Parts: sequence; structure tokens; C-alpha cells
Amino acid sequence: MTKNSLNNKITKLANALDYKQVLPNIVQPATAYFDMLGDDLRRRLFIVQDSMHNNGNQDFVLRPEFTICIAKDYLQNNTNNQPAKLCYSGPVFRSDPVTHVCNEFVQTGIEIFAAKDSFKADIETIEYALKALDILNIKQVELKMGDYDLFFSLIQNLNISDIWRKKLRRLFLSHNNLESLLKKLNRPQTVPVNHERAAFLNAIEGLEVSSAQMLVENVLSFSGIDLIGGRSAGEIAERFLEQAALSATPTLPDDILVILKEYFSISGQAINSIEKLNAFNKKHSLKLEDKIIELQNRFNAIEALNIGNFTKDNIQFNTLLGRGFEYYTGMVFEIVDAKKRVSSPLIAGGRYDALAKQLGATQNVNAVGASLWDARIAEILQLDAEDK
Amino acid sequence: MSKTEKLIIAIPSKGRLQENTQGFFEKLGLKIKRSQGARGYSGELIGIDNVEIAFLSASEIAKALDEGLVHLGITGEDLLRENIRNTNQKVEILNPLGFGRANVIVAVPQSWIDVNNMLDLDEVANRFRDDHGRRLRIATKYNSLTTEFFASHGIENYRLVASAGATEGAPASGSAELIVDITSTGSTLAANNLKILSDGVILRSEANLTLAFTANWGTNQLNALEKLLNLTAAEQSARQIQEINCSANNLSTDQINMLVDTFNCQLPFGNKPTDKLTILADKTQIFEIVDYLKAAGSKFITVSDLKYIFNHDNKKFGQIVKKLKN
Repeated sequence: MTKNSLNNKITKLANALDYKQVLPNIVQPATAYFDMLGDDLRRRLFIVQDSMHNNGNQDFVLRPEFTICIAKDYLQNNTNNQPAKLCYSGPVFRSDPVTHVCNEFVQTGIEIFAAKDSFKADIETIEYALKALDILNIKQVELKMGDYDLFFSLIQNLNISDIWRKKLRRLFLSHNNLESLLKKLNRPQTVPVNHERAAFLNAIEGLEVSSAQMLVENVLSFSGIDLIGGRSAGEIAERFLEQAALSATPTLPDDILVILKEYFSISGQAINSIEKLNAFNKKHSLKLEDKIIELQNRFNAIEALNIGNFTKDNIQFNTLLGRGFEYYTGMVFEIVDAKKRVSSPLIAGGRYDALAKQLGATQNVNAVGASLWDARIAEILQLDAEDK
Repeated sequence: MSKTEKLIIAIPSKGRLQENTQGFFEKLGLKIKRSQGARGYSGELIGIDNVEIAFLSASEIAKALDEGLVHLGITGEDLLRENIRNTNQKVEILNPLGFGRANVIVAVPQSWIDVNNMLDLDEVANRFRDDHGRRLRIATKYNSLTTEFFASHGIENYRLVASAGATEGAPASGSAELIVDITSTGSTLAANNLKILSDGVILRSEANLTLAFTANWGTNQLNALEKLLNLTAAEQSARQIQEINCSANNLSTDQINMLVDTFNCQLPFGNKPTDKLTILADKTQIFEIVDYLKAAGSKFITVSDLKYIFNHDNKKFGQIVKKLKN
């Protein structure tokens, strides 16, 4: 199958499923990418300058993926958040981590914004992904699924302070793998303080933010220091208060660590995972029943799509599945070749309700999407052809 | 540039760096002669045959070394590390020259009284992202050095912004929150309400004589390199060492041998209790040795600086030749 016919088939599918084609610009303002992408992908950005280096503030990049620019265009053109089902296909650009040359890949995919029913939108996203592979005659696939929302609900229900919740959320969003995450969880989560700092923290502990802020302002004005650099006296005071509150317990309480480790060890076939999650939830009284039922419903709805020979048995749930993008908020997924002939995902995506606000919208907009790696799919097709 | 079989040495084309570079060559007994007129950007080195001098800006020198357009260059380590990927494979720093000293540092606003070190900065970077929905911006010209250093501290929530002019002004003007920049005295930082983090020194840099492995190395160039390295090695060994001459007729051989056991010194011309004994010693030990000699009965003692010490095979040249062959 030629690349073109591959692409045509997927485009036809998107049209049949009612997605409207969008064509965002290849050259994009850089800021959103620097602010939204994880460290790994950020380093691979290609920055565009004119030959006179007139736009010396690194203002533009070659788009490294579609979600951010499509979300930005959507927010700009739909100020009242009309539901939209959009599809795209085109090149994305990332520098090679070893040779540092600019690699160009074709990505094809969909984004669904402001759906009335977000559960349904999740299923529609998986439907598009599985159907795309099915019409290309790729039948042996595994769907890996994770759920950020389940983790966020877990920490919401743990008996810890909001400061700890924020810290755990951050650690989870920036993790690369279980090992790095556990290592980070095991070590003290606050900066060690010296004697002078400890004395200051003692004095400030328990103060209202406004009083602590006044204290910081006074210290600055007595020392004749101008407040520059984008952080307010209030922010500095809040960090002191956090340090003071955490200085007694700089490491995560052991019982909480045990629960987290147990949670992250849960993975496996969809049905087994649900059982494990239920047992885990009951054992620690975490009140996650509703979320687990939702997850189970998701698995059932995917099976009910009845695409090819795909069943729940082809779904692998993993509490740690992350995507290296920090904007995900709910379901995340990757579809891989069941025989693992190509190790990277053929299709990947997830729910990212928080992106709109991060891009400057006044409120969250519910959003979910999927994107296909054309070259990896072509490689599988090639391998299949050789096998025959 | 590489039209001839000459060894090309790139040196800074202006300012203090150029003056100091000339001083370095003068100490070796060599003189830079600049060509006249339009060819003023090249010159020759009087004292060693087959050497061409190329006058370039300090950052061009790093790039020329990277591309192998010149054989040797004199420039700051900061520029080498920043501009040359896999620095240690591409070039070799032959010797630090003791001038152009400056540090590449991480500096934050003085008003960040809660931030003293990189751990603090990591925490603040994470908080900033949560509070502002964007990442801390670091103004710098040192993208590679900054990225490596921040990664080694596990800090991810930041972004780099290019600094066109005076980097240290970026936090006050609002175009960045903090900076990574080069500083020699720190006074410019203070004037801009900035402070250096306690563990925020990325690199202690100075000017270096540096060799490019990728340049075209023929016999003529290697010969010229060997001569230059012999001189630099001789001059370098002479820098830390002073010469003591004393009358030694009153001293016993045991007393003289004791010198070598007790102090960091050598007796290059033998240990006979003759009219004149020569001792070479580390500068820091000179007066202790003089006291010892006086106590042992020496009547007359002189101490002098040395210009060169030619005392051994040039190991460095051998190593370089080996590496170039690989």
C-alpha cells in the first residue's frame, strides 16, 4: 500500500465519522510549546528564525505535534466553546536526540472539543483509532490504557495536606518510569534548611499568608532590595509557609508511600486490573468506586464497538502509563503492534481538559484526541506484506 | 585558511584577550607579527617556522576549532564547552593560560530571599509553573551549558530565552526571571539586583590553548606543534618553580640529601658539597629551604625566577600524536 492510499483511507474514515479537516500552520509561535511540553520533547523543538535573526527571542518553532496548535486555533475561533470534531494530517518536526538533525514525520489524527458527553467522546476517540487500524487490515493490536483522573482522585482521597497533593501531582506528571517515580517519592520532598532559614521558618510558621507577605515585604524594604523577576512577595511568603509546614515531615508518611506503591504496581489485562483496583480500593477505603466503575464502563463500551476481533482481552491497563505531555487529565492510551515488531505506539492519545486554561482560556474545555504515526503503521503493513 | 602546510593558530583579534595572548607568546620568547593592510587578519609567529596566526573573535575561534579550520586556538573554556558538541572528542585543552578568568553562573533576583541554591530553584520552578501556568524563563547565551547543568540537577520546569544584549538586565526588564551568564567580578550582577546561587557555578572558565583533532595535521604542522609544546611545557614547569643557588662547602652530603627528603625540591646538577649547589623548588617552599640552608651553615644564598625548564620528554606531544593517529 502506498503512503498516499494509507492516508486517503484514514481521511475517508475521519470524514465518514464526521470529523472536519483542519490545516494548522507548520510554523507556530514558540511560547505554548516551551510552556506545555515535557522536558524531553522541548529539547527536540526546532526553532525558526529569519536570516537576519530579527526575531531573536526564539519566537517560532516548527510544530512538533498537532494537539497544541489545533487547540489554540479552536479556542481562538470558538469563543463560546461550540462542540467540534476535527481531524488533521501533515508533517511534524523533531530533532533527532542523537544526531540532532531535523526529523520530519507525518502525523494524522483527531481532536474532539467541548463534547456534551465526555465519556462518549473518549469512546469515539478509541473507535476512530481502532477503526483506522482495522480498515488498514492491522488486526493484531494491543490497547494500553491509563487514567490520570484515577490517580488524581486517589491523592484527593488520601489523608494528606494539599501541599502534599500538589507535590504528588507534579511528581506524577513529570515521571518517566516507575523507577524514577518511586525514587522521587522516597526522597525528602523539601529542600533541607540551614539554621538561619530554620529560625525564620519558625517565626513564620502558622502565619496568615497576608502577614507572612508583609514580613517578606518588610525584609525586602529594610534590605533595600527591589522586587524583580516575576515572583511577588506573596508567592515568596507562600513558599516559606509551605517549607515551614513541611519542615517537620519532609518525607512522605510511610503509610501513604505504601498505598502509592501498591497503586503503581497495578497493571495487566483490563478485567484483572478492575479486580485488583476494587481490592485495593476496599483495603484502604479510598472511595474510588465511582471512578473504577467508570473505567470498567469504558472497557465494556470499547468492546461493544465491535471492531474486527477486538475485545476487552486486548486491553492492558497500566496505572503508570504516561505520555510525556503534561496536559493530560483523564484517559490516556497507546495502541501497539501485538507482536511488538515495532516497539513505539502506532497510535496514541488521551483526554486533556486542562490544556485550554493553560493556553489562556478562562475555563477548562473538555477535550480528547488521538494521533497516528503514519511511518510506523506503514512499517507494520510492510512487515505484514513480507510475511505473506 | 588552510591553503599551506602551515600550523594555523587562531588568536583573539582585539581587546584584553589579545594583549594577554601576546603576553603569553612573549613569555615563550615568541612574537606575533601582524600582516599589513588588507591581510591584517593574519600574521606569523616569529620564533617557530611554518606557523600562521589567524585573528578571529573569541566565539569564532571555538567554531573554527570545532570545524577543524585551525589547528590551535586561544579562547575561553566557556565558549569551547558551549559551542562544540562532544567537546572532549573534538578538541583538547592543552594548557590553561591564567587569564580571561570568569565563571558561568546561575543568578536569580536578590528579592528571591527564599532561593539560595539549586534545590530551592527546582522547588520554585515547579511552583512557578503551577502558579503562573508557564515556565520560569532563563535568559542566556549559554544554551548547552545551561541545559546540561539544569538536567544534572533534575530541574525541568524552565525555558531558555535568547539574550540579545545585556543578559543581566533581563530579570529587571521582565523578559526573563533569572539568568545564566558569565561574570568575572559579580559587580554587574549586584548592580542589577541579582545574586549567584551557592551551588550555581556551572563552569570556572579561563583562556586556554586548545587543539583541534579534526584539523589537517601534516608533518610540518606536527613539527611546529612539537616546538610550541616543548616551549609551553618548559615555561609551565618554570612557573611554579624557583631556583636557589648557595655556597655548599660547609654542608655535609647527608645534609644535602636531607633536602630532597624533607622538601618538595630537586638537585638537578648533583648533590656534591661544592662552591655552588643548585636547588629547584616549589615557590611555596623557598623560604623554609633557605632557613634550612642557613642553619646548615651556608654562607651565601640566592633565589631567582626561571624562564624555562627543559627537563623531560614532552609527554603531551606524544599523547596528541597517538590520538591523532586513531
